[in-house]
Amino acid sequence: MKQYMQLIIFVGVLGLITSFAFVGMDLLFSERIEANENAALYSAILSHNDATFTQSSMFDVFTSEIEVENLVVDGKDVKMYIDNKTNNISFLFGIFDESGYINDIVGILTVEEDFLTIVDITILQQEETPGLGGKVALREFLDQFIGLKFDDTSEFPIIIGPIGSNDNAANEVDQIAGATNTSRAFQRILTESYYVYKDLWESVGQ
Amino acid sequence: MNLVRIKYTKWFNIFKSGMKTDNPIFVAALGLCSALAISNTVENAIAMGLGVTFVTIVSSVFVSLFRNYIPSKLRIVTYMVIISTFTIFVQKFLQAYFPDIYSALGAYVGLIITNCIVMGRAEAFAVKNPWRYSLIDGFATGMGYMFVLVFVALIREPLAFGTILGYQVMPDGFTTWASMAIAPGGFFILGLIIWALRTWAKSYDLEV
Repeated sequence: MKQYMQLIIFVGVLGLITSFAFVGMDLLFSERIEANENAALYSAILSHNDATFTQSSMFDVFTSEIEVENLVVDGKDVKMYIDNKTNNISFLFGIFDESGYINDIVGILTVEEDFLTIVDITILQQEETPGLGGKVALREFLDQFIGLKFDDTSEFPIIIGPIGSNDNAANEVDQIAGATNTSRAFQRILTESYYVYKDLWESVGQ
Repeated sequence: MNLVRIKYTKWFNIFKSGMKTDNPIFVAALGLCSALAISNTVENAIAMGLGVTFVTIVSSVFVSLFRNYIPSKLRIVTYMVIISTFTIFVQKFLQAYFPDIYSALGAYVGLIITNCIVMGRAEAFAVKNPWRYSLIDGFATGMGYMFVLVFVALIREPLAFGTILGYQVMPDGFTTWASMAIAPGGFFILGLIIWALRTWAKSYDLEV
């Protein structure tokens, strides 16, 4: 009996010490982690809109140039970022149901005020296979999207199709070589996010 | 004279064991999963090596310090709790101060928890030795792991991306080898390196 009591006390003490350690780590790092995430987001949005900024002026430039529209989708808070100069609209994709092949792929997409033409696209978070699906975050893949128009009458407004740019449709880019599943998942993510934000955009009467 | 005496000190032999005679990768073949996955760039290899070294050192020291209080029935669970606490520390530290490296390493930082090297040193060494030797053992094992990782990465990165630490080292027009960026490429390189290093270290599996 005494032995079991000792085990229970040991587990309790271990749990207590570990809990304090986790709380301490959270206090130590959470502010900086959040600042890093915001910096990556702000930097992507400002870059998409060709804004001039430095690391130190980024937050001020963002506040003065970007208007943030807070909206709610199925109880989830989402934001749309509208540039005062260009009227381009930016939004986070990959935050709804669809995820990448391995894990979530989250990024920022900027479209022109017609809500069809893609201005730029940046990946903020992904955990796909390094060297294969991980190429989803590389500029050589993402640059293909710049200037394309979503086909909002189609089931897939943007197509990530087989490699061979000569045969591509007007809303089609080449998939990542050796990463068919990630490419398909990315197409689903973009499709879902685009239609969610398009409905929101129309519902707020812009 | 002093150099000769160093050879016979316990700490030197522990260090030599972790780096060479009991190297976690090329002798014990532990921690291969993360080694194959993240050794495609030197930067990732260094970051992962330092992360594993830190976790192995502090876990071993903690296990050693509290070895007389840890009930034997709960020792594996206790090791896991200690290792996971320090792994999460490394994960959050990288996320806060080196977000690019954190993104590049992806899930593998969290998987230090399941790295057999860390648990192996706690069970095989730290639980039987004083904390100062456990510290040296953790350091040597982590460095032994990092040494092989960086060695593999120095071959893979130029072939996979044409660079070393981001600097272009291959000539213009060099066709990169996609296979070197992924785990199978690492598997072949690691296999060759294990063969070479085992020959160098005279570490053979002898038939009985």
